[in-house]
Amino acid sequence: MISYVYNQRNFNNLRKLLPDFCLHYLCLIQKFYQLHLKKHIVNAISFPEFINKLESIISVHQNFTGSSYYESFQTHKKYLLMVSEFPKFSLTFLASLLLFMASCSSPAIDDFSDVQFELTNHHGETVIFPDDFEGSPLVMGFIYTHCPDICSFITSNIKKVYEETDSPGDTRFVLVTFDPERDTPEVLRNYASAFDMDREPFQFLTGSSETIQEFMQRVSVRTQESYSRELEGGDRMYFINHSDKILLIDQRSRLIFDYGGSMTPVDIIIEDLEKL
Amino acid sequence: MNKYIIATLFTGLFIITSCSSEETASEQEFILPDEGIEIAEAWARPGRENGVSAVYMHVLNGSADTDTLVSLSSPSAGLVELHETFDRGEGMMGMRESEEPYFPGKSVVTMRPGGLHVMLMQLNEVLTEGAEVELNLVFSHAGEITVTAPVRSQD
Repeated sequence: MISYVYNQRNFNNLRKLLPDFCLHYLCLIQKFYQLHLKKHIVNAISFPEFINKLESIISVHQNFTGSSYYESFQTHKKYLLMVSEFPKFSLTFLASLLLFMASCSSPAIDDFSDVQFELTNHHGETVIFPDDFEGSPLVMGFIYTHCPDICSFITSNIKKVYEETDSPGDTRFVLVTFDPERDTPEVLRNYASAFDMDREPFQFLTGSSETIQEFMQRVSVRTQESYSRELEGGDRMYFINHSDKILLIDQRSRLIFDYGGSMTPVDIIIEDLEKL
Repeated sequence: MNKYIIATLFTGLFIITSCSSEETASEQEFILPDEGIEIAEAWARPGRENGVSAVYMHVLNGSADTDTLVSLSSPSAGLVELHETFDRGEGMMGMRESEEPYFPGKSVVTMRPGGLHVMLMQLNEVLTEGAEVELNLVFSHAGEITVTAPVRSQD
């Protein structure tokens, strides 16, 4: 069941079938699948059982999801269970219930307004996160330019979100490197140019190693050098294992959603972006 | 309205539980060559000069036997290797050199984003959308095959 939801095409079909408020939890299922927790919930058979197991997983992993997420899930859980257990609820009650759930279907997962990171964009200009982005929705991905597959995928997805959003308005589209050693502003500019993204509203950000390390920690992007080898000419080549994600941050620097960067269909990100 | 909601919930659940066997996409059908190997629909990612790119394709092996990819080269890159992206677990993605450059007989192996790909390193030119990159693949039985892959940012 979980692997079914993990498959993007199924995810899309399911999304059309289920009421909107379920999306949040479908995305969570994907996230947990990514975290290899599928063994805990893969055998869930009934909806209430499934909801309970999901709750226990969120509870155990509050460090990852944030405690507000757990609290918000508990509120939703009550109503999700009511809907499944008492099918004869009055129309009025259900309507108000749905209205309530719709109003809190996108709780903020995190809030970045209390931090400040001095980063550098691909033109060498100083950019302060999140201050310089306040007032604009922000779609943010994480890459390193020596990664041709997943990171190109994430980069293209960010570009596609911009191109396919009807009215992006003042939304900013940003990619931050977790390899500041090699990804200098100049390297990022060349990378941006190869992807035809050396233009507004795209920005590619780097920074000092310490700042990038702290930044990645704050946005829960994990990285780990995998292997390295010497190339002819003495250069060192290395690869990095990394989290695969795209974040949607609102005008008030609150993290609204955390998507699988390469695997989430862009129309889901666009739909969420257009609600901001 | 409540009936509708319950119905959608249960239809959703029914579909979740009943269709899990349909996870694999129906693979695009290709006509295998009578013998040897053919490459179909090759395309490459954009890449900066001195940077990297990936080439994706379908490898159609029409012969009865497994063939092995023994070498890769490109006039656009200093170093070319067969790599695969893999899920390291806990939401982490990694990349490594593929240790199994084998292409079974009478079958199609697809290199696609997020999986097996040809990695071009030390690019000696910028690859922007609309450009083309040449790639030489040498198989132990099928011999040398040269493909031209158009550069696209999306598949």
